[in-house]
Amino acid sequence: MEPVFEANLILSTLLFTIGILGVMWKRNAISLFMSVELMLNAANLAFVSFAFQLGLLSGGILVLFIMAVAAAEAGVGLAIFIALFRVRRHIRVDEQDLLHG
Amino acid sequence: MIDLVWLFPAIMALAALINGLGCRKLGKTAGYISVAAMAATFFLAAGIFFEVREAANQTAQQAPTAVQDPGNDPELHRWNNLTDAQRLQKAEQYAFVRTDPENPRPWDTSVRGGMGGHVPLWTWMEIDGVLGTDRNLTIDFALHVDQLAAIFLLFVSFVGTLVFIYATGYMREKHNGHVELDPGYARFFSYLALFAASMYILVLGANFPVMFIGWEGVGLCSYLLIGYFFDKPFNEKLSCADAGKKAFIANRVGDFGLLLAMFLVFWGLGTLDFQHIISMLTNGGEVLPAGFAFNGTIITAVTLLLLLGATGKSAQIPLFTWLPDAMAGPTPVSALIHAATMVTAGVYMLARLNVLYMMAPVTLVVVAFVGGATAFVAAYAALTQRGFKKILAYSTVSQLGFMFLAMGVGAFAAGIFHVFTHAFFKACLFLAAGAVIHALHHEEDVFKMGGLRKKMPKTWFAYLFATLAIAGVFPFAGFFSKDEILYMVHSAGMGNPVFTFLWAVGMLVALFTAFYMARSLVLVFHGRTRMSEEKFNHAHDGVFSMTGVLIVLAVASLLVGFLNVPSGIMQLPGNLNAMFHNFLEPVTDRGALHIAQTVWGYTGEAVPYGAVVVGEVTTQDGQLYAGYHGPELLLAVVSVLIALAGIGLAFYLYGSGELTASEKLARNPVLKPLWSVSWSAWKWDDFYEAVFERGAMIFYGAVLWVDKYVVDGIVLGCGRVSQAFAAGFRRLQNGQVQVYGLLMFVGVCIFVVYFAIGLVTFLADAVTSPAEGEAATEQTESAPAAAAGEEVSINLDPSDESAVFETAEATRTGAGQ
Repeated sequence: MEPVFEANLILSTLLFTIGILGVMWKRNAISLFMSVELMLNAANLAFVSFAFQLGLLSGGILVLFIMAVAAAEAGVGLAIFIALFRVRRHIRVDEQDLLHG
Repeated sequence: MIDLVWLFPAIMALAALINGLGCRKLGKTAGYISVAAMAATFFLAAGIFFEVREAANQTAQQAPTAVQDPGNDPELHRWNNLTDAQRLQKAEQYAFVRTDPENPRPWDTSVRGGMGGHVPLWTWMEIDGVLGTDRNLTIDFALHVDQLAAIFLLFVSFVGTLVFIYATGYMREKHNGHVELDPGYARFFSYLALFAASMYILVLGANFPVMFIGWEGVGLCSYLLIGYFFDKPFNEKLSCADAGKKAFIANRVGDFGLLLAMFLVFWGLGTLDFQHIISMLTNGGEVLPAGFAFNGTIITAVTLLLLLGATGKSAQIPLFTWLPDAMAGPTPVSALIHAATMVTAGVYMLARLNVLYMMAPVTLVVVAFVGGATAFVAAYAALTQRGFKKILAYSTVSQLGFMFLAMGVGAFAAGIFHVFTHAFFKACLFLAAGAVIHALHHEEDVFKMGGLRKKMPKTWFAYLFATLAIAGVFPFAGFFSKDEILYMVHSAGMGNPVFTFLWAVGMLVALFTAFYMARSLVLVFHGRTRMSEEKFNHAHDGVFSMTGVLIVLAVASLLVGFLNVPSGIMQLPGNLNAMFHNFLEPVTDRGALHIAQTVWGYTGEAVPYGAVVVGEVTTQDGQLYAGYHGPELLLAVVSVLIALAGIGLAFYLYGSGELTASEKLARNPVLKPLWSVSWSAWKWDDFYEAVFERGAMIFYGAVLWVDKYVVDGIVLGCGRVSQAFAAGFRRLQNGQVQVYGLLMFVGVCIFVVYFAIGLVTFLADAVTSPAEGEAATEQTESAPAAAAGEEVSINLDPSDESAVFETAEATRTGAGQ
C-alpha cells in the first residue's frame, strides 16, 4: 500500500470522526451543518482514494453524486433553518424537541 | 274466493308500506289509504264468510260418511315423507277440494269437521332430517280459512274499519278554526294498518310458525302504538315509551311459553300444522307417542305453555299488568287493542287448539281458574279507579277473564261469542271515552267530569248502550254472551263443585261489572258537572267520523247478541236460535266431540250443544256426566237482576254528581282497606316491581361487578401493561435530533463491530479448515458408493459418526461461503 493512500484514509477517518463529534456536540444548526459537510467530504475523500488506488471509475462518479446530494441538502436544510429562525428567533437544535414522546 | 285470502294481510301490509314511506307528504291521504284498505278487507271478509257458510251448509247436508275421512289414514300423517306419486294418489282417493296437481296437500278437504280451506302460498322452510333424526320438517307459508277464522276476519275488519274511520277524526285537532293533523299522522296509520295485517296473519295462519309471525306482529305493533307519544310522560312513573315496553316485555314472557309449546309439539308429533295436529290427535291413536293421549303429560305441558302465551297476549293473570298501561297510546289504539286485535289473540289460539285443551282436563281447570281469578281481580280493581280509560282497561281484563272462564269449562264457542260481542261494545266504550277525552282536552279523571249528557248527547247515547251491553242487560249483546258463559259454568258445576265456585265468582264479577260501568257512565255523563264552566261549555260531540262510528257500534252492541239466542231463553222461529254457535260448532266443539266419543263413550253424531261438560254425555259407567242443563231462563233473570242492582247502586252512590257518599264509604274504617286494595289494583305492579325489578337489579349488580372488575380488569390490564412499557421507552424519543444521531451512530458501530468479528472468524476458519474440508468431501462421496453395495464395512465403522458430524459442519460452512 502506498503511503499516500494510507494517509488519505487516515485523514478521511479523522475528518469523519470530527464530523460525527461535531454533529453530536454542536448546538448551533449551522455548525451542525458544517459538521455534516465534513462527514460527507470525508466519505468523498475515501471514495476518491479507493478509486485512484483500485483504478475504478465508479468511486469518482459516486463522489459527484454525493456532492450533488450535499448541495441539495444544504439548500433544503438552510431553507428550513431560516424558516425555523423566523419562528423561534434562534436555531439551537437541542431546543427543537417538539417531536418528543 | 277462499284462494284470495292472502289479500287480507297483503292489502294491509301494502297500506302500511305506503303510509310508512310516504310519511308527512301524504297528509290526510294517509288516513284514507288505511281506511280504504281496511274497508276493502271487510268486504273480502264478508265474501269469505258467506262462502264458508255456504260450504258448511252443503257439507252438512251431505251424508257425513260420503267422503272418507282422510284423518283416519295414518299415511297422511306422514305426508311430508310421501312421494309425489303417493300424494297424487291420496289426493284422488280423498277427493281433496282444492287440489293443486303439482303439490297436493292433505288437508285441502272441505269445511266439514272444521277442516276448512287450506291455502298454501309457498314452501317456507324445508328441512330434511331434523337434528339428525329421520324426520322431515316442511313448513308452508299457508293460510287456513274455516268458520273460526271467518268470524274473526269479519269482526276484526268491521270493528277495525270503524276504529280507523274514527281515528281520522281523532288524530286531528282544531286550533283557531283550522284543522291540524297530528304530527305523526301517517306514521300512526301505517302502524294501524300493520297491526291489522299482523292480526290477519295470526288469524289465518295454518300452522304455528305462520301464526307466530302474526302473534309477534301484533306484539310489535302494540309496542309501537302504545308508545306512539314516545316523548311524552304517561303517569308519574312511566313515560308512554315505557308503557309500550311494558306491553312488549310482558308479551315476550308469554311468547317463550308459546315457543316451548311449539317445540314440544314438533318433538312429539313431527308437524306444526294445526289441522294436521288436530287430525292426528283425534284420529291417529296408534301413531301418537305416549304423553299425547287423553290427559297425557306432554299434552298437558303443551297446553299449559300455550296458556302462558295466551295469558301474555290476552292480559290474564299473571301477565295482565301491561293492559291497564296500554292506554298510553291514542284512544283509537286502545279501542283496537282491547276490542278487535291483540287481546283476542290468546282466546283465539285457545279456541283454535280446543282439541288439545279438551285432551288436557288439568289445563282446562287451570284455564278456568286463571280466567275466573283475572275476571275478579280486574273487576275489583275497576271499582274505584278514577282514570276514564283505566276503568275501561280493567273492564277489558275482566271480560277477557270471562272468556278464559268459558274456555276453561270447554265452552269454546261461548268464549268466542263473548269475544265477538265484546269487540263491539268495548270498541264503542273506548271510542266514546276517546270522544269525551278529546272534547275535554285530554282530561281523563272521571271525578272531574259529569253532566256531559246534555253537551254530548250522541256520545252519551253510544256510551249508555255499550254500558248496558257490558253490564249484561237484556236485550243487549253482552247479556247473551255473558249469560251463555255463566250458564255453561253453572252447568259444568253440576258435576263439579269447583265450577260452582267459579260460577259464583262469575256472578259476583257480573255485579261488579254492572256497578263500575254504570259508575263511569254516571260520573261522566250524569249529575252535576265538576269541571270548570268554561271547559264544560266548550265540550261538544266529535266530528261526524267520530259520532257516526259511535252510533254504528252502539246499535251493533244492541243487535249482535241476537245472533246467538239460546233456545233455553227464547224460542225463535226456524233455525235462528244459536246461529253463531251452530256455525262455529264444527271447529270449536271438535275437541269436545272427540273427547265425548273416545273417553265417555258418546255415540251420537251431532255435537252436544255447548261443550262436553254441559252436553248430555254419559260416562262409561252409565252415569250422566254433567248432563244437567241448568235452569237457563232462571239464571238469565237472576243475572239481569244482578246487573240492574249494580247499575242502581252506582246511580244511588254517584247519581247526584256529588262525591260525598262515595268518599264517606272510602273513608269508612271497615271499607278503607278494601278500597285501597282496589285503588292500588291489588298492588300487583308493586309486587312485580319488588320481586322482579329488584331481583333483576340485584342480579344485574352482580353481572355489573363481574364486568367491571373481571372483564374490564383483563382488558384494561392489557392496556396498563403496554402503557408501562411505553412509559419506559418514550424517554428515548426526546425529540432531539442529535440524540437520534448518536443512537444511530452507536447502532452503526455495533453492526460494524459485529460484522468485523464475523469477518475475522470467517477468515480464521478459512485458513485452518482446508484439510477437514477435504475429509468431508471424501465422506460425502462414499455415501453413493455404499448404496451401490461396495465397501459396506466403512459405513459400519464407529469412526463414521464423527465424520458424518464433520460433514454436516463442512456443509454448513460451505453454505456460509
